[in-house]
Order: sequence, then C-alpha cells, then structure tokens
Amino acid sequence: MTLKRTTPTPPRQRFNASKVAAFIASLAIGHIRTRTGEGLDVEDAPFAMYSTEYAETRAELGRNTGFVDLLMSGGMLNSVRVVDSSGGADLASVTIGVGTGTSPRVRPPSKTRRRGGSRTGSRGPAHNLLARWHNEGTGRNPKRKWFGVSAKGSAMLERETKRVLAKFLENK
Amino acid sequence: MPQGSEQGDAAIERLREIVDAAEAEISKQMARLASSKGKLESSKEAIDNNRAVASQVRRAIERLASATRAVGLAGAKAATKAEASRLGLTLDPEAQTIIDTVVEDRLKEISAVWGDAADEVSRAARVAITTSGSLETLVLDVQSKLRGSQAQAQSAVDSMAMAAGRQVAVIQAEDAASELGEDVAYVYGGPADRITRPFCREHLTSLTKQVYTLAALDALDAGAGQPGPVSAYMGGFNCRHNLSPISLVEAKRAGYTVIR
Repeated sequence: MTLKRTTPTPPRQRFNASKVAAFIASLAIGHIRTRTGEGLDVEDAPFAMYSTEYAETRAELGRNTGFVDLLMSGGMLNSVRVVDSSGGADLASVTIGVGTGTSPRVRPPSKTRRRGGSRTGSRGPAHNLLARWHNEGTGRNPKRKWFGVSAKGSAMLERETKRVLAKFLENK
Repeated sequence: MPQGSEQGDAAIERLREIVDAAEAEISKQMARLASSKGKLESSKEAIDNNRAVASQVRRAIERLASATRAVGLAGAKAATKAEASRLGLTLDPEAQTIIDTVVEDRLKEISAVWGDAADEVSRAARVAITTSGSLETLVLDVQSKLRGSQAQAQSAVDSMAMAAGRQVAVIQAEDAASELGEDVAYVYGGPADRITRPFCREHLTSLTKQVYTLAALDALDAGAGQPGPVSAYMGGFNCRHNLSPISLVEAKRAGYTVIR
C-alpha cells in the first residue's frame, strides 16, 4: 500500500540570528516608548517631577504636568529606532539609538488663544542630544534615565526570545 | 526653514518696493486729479499706470507663489535626507526602498499644501486688485498668508518626517515578525492631555487597553482634512503620539484587547 501525503509540509525555517535580533529589537523599541510614556524610567520608577516653572509652561501649552512622560512634540520618542545591525545567521547584533533630527520649539499661546501654543520658528536640540541630557542629567535638570531596558522589559524580551527560539527547536 | 524664510522675506521686500512705487504713482495721479478737477476718466495715462501697477503686483505674486512652492519641496527633500541619515540606511538597502516609497507620497502631500497656499496668496492679490483695495493692505494680507503658509508647510514637513519614521518602524517590525511567522500589534501611545485630539483619545492604549494590528490601524480614519494612513500620521498633522510594537502573545499577556 502506498501512502500519499494530502497536506503540504510547511517549509522548514532555518534559524537565523539576524531575523530574531531584528524582531527582538522592534519589541525593545516598543518597550522603551511604552514605559517612558507611562512615566517610568529604566528602574521602572517614576521620573523626577518637572520644575514648577517648566510645569507652568507645559500647562499653558496644554501638556501634562501631573506626571513626567518626556513628551513635548513626540519627536524624541518617535525617533528611537534601529541604527545599526550586523552579523548573520549564527550571531547578530542590533543597536538601538535616538535619531539626530530636531523638533520645532513652541511657546505658550497668547491670552486670546484658548489652547495649544505657537511655534517660535526655531528648532530644539537634536533628539539624540536631548535624550542624553535626560539620561545623564544636566546642571539644571535632574537625571531622567529613560533610554534603556528595565528589568520588566528585559524579562519580556527574554520570554519572547525563548519563545521564538523554542519554535525553531520544535520545527527542527 | 531659514532658506524659506529668506526667500519669503525677499519676495515681501520686492512687494514693498512695488508698493512704494505704486504709492508714489498714486500721489502723482492724485495731483493730476486735483489739477483736472476730478475728471480721472480723462486721464488715460493714469489708467495705464494703474494697469501697469496691477500687472507688476500680479507678476510679483506669481514669483512669490513660485518661490513658496520651491521652498516647500526643498524643505521636504531636506527633511527626507535628514530622516534617511537618522535611519542609517547604508546598513539596510531595503529600508531605503521603503523610505523612497513612503516619502514620495508625502512629497505629493507637501506639494499639495504649497499649491493651496499659493492659490490663497494669488486669490488675496486678485481680490485686492479687482476691488481697488489699498496696496498696503494687499501686502499685509500677502505677508499674513505667507506666514501662515510657511508655518503650514513647516508643520507638514515635520509631520512628514514623523510619519516616515513611524512607517519605517512599522514596516521593519512587520517584516521582522513575518520572517519568523510571528504577529505583532501596536500600542497607541502618547499623552492624553488638554490638546489631545478626540481621535487619539479614542484610540490611546492607556485609556482603552486596546492594541491594533497594522490592518486595523489603517482601516481607521483620523477625520476630514487629516492625512493618512493612521499608521504613519496617527491623529494627523503635528500628532505627538507614537506606535510601539508588541507581540500578540505579550499583548494578550498584558491584558490588552487586540483590534484586528
């Protein structure tokens, strides 16, 4: 008797470290953005509060003041991305960084305008420089270390890496 | 956009020169009018001069409109180049193709924005000329339109850069997931403050506990007058929100509802 296969065999995927690294990098970027947006630093602790003066300016601009999410135009967080990748099927490395672009500066609205603010016409510092100032703190500004993976984030990335690797092992 | 501002200022300066010339001409005509006892219609020279002034202003306006169009595109291209540099595209030729495709669409939008602005400026000029409005008012009107248009174009360029960045990040996440047979969704992240648009508020993951697949995002419509797709522009021009890739497994683990 001859047995005939009736369903096609799914193509066997070969392990490729670069592909896994690219996937994990995407999740890491997602983790950094989400956690920072929740007002938490790389220790999963709330960021240092804004100064009273800056909080007032933010309030006039219609921005959050109650908790710190490092977000004014959204440009810095949006510019987090893969800036370098190397390696191949067996070993791969991916570097995540902050873009070098800038965002427009804004000033509080005039008393006749009810919301938002207006652009000053000048640009703010490069996003990667701003990121560094936040991360390391400056003379005037406290350290708000946002760029990095927290313990919770690290655990999530580890779970995901193991899960993806397990799929390869199952299919081997 | 300093280059744009310089060109705009030069164009305005040229208009001011024309206004000065026109005012001098009008003064001469008024003097003639006085000497001809109010019979302006008899002064063919004065009428011809009026026509010449109107023609000069029309030409200046055309140059102004043409300059603003050029600045808009140049600004867009510069933003694109900066965006490409940020992405380290030499490392990933596929991303270059993605950027080219994405940005080409955005360029069309920028061009459209400047086209509208140019039309506005021309319309202001036509109205002022045909209704015998004062030339000073015309200049102020044009200046006001130009300022508005520059801000509009700057906003469009900034939004385009943000959109291109979001789209590349989304495409990279989709590609990486697809290569591994994985599925990803996106956290709709960012602030919920006084100036957050209703559209963004309705979709913010922090408020809704919902995450979205790419298809679900692009099936959304941010509203009339806002550019799309939502996976690139989110709530529209100047949107401050961002998309964070998350695996479907982790999304469910975190208790999010996945909108497909």
